[in-house]
Amino acid sequence: MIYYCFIGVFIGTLVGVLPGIGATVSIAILTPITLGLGPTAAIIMLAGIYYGAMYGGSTTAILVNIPGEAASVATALDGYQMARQGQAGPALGISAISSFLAGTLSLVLLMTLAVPLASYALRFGPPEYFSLMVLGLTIVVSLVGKSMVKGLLAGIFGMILATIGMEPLTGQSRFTFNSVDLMAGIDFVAVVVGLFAIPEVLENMEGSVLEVYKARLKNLFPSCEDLRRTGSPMIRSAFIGFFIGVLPGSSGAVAAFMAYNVEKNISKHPERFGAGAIEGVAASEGANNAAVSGAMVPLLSLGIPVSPPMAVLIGAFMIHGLRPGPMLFNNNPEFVWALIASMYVGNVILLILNLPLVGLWAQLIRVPYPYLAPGIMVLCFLGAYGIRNSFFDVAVAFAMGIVGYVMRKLDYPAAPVVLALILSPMLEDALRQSLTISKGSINIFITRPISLTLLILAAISVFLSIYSRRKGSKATAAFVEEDNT
Amino acid sequence: MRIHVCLFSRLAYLAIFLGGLSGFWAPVAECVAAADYPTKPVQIVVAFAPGGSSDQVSRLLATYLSKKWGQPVNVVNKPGGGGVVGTAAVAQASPDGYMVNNGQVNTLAFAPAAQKNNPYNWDSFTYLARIGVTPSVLTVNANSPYKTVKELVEAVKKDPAKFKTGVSGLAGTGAFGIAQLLQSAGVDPAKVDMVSFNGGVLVITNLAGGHVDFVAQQLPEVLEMVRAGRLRALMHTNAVRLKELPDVPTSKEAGFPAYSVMAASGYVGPPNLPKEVVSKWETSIANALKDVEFAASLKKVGLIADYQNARDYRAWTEEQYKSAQHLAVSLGLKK
Repeated sequence: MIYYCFIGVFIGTLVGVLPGIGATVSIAILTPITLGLGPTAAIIMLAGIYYGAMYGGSTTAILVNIPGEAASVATALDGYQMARQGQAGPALGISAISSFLAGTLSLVLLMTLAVPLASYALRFGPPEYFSLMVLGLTIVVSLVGKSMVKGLLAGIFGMILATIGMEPLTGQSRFTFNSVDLMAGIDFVAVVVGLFAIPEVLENMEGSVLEVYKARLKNLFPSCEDLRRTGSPMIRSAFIGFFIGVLPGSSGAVAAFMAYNVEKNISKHPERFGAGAIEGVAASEGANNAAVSGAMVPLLSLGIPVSPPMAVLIGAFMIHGLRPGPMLFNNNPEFVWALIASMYVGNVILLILNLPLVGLWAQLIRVPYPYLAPGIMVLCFLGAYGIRNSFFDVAVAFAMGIVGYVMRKLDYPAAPVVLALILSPMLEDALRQSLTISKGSINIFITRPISLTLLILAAISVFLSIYSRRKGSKATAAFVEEDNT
Repeated sequence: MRIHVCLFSRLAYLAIFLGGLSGFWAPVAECVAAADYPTKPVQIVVAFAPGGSSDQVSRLLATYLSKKWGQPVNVVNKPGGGGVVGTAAVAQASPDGYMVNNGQVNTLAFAPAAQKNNPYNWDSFTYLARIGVTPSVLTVNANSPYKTVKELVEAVKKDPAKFKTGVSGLAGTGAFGIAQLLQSAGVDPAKVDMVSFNGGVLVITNLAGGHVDFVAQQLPEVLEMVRAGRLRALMHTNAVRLKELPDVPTSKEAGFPAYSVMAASGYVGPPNLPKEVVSKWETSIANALKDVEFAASLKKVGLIADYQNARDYRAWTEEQYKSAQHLAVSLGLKK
């Protein structure tokens, strides 16, 4: 069993490194191949791919600023800055340790809370999702960078991009100009690659390309100081990631951004976030791994797949003759517990597999940038093509690369675009569904207790972000004088 | 002068290279004669993300056909636009049989019937064969006071505005099934609020959570929740009673034969496919359904084997398209 778990985690880490070819596709491709194995071995291997891929995505995010999937965007914000400062080792190390710790902690939550939490997930109807998405969008405020106006404009740009394609309710096309490709909408991987990785390469080539990364790798592993600083963020991120992961329709990305936002808001030095704060990496990585365990709650207790990789996994269950549903715990307890046990083992394997690799990956940035840059570009476009096998997405990545470069020159932040692009389709769905249910009355958002609570949290989040921004800008003034990072 | 020579020789190389390329491709192009189809890898385009029924069935079939044909058969996911994008790509593919589509009743018949500017029509394809169907099941929450279809319909008639139903897209099997039921009961479907969700999973989740009152989703989506006693099935559209739900009446038995929508999974290609290709697919799919192992895995993913040859599958889809046109009007999707 451990052998299959190892194979799964190993494959997952490999495909996670490639943007665009994520967990969903690899599980789907490998499912028919596992027909020869027993159901338990097969599912353990496929689940291994899932969390391996969740981890693998952070490697490219940290080293070369290519977040392979939405969940690693928040990791890239600080991870890549750390890599440029010669801190690639600690960044990768912390991301492995945080994934392990938060992953394990969230499994304990899964074992103890799965049954009561299943009904909590069901209480989330459209109005609750709407308020959750509003809360998610308030994170834009803490991602805006130097200018609030520019950051908000970037967020709106993301929302506008999200409206392209088929409208969710009746299926009529919006802004598609009769192009079949545009009907599918703008895929966010193409946008992420375009806005993050390509402008980075272009900008690096303007100056002396040999000094993109500080040549000397300071240290390979996180120091005691790093561990001390990231201890509580890891634990907090486990809880945030787990509870967001439980909700059907949300995603690891939402969890990662929320955990990142919380850390930034409670930090004494919020200005360090975005400039290489190790807590940011720990929070984002921990949360997206914990979200995987969270997503197992509705899958195992109700048979509801929360995310696309989970949907593929449920298909694999069925092909192997297991019927995921409310009765799975009763009918196949040995299977359920073997799966949960394998997730513990999988997390340990991830750690064992990746800590030694940290040294190897970190060496990658010693490759002279003139050789590295074309490789990054190839990886970007390959990833864009891999999303749904279409050259249209490659063209989108290319166009977004140019847009991203111009935005960077004019000091517009890229993260709000991506966040808004991920959240607004869900926001729109939930808003229209809620208003259908309430026959047009917006009171539905404040008369339902969970929804109201989330809206209040959203208000607090905006307030805290603005407050920590004020605090941050005062601190920066003092900070800049002593240290130029 | 030297530069000129250099340039000239480069151009010559380029010419030779291109010539070589076209020389290489020309016989290949001629060779695509259909007699010994397939002579190279075949692509099955699935117009949905991995994990759904369309994807599962196609991957099982691809594994089976690869073995039988001795050529790799690959599944390629082209999701987006509710399945319209991938389906449109196949409608425009070259008619050699190396790119086919897993056609669903939603993408082949309902989308062209209900949506403005749909990039293809129901007859923009060569129909190959239908592999199976999935009945639609009228389902309520287990806590719902309505134990039979009649009770539910009476209550809806009395006060349609009180009810909410959940569907996955307004031009899908769910919405059309509900429209069939309501119309035949004499209720204007536009009077019942239809909440559209992004996928069947969310429809079921919202029914189980009590956020909508009744739905008409596909059997595999509701089966386990019904068995576990969280949802209650009132009737289904299968012709005979289902082994999985022996106590649930068919729509005919329940007195609402108009409720008849079925999801179907089959294979189609671009227009004007050679006859040999069509008959190869017809016989291969018919044989696959006779294969014990294949039939067993098909059942596990929730598809009821129901073969139709190319002609019958085409005629059946046309019928679905025509009835969907009327339903689209009643749902206010088209005027």
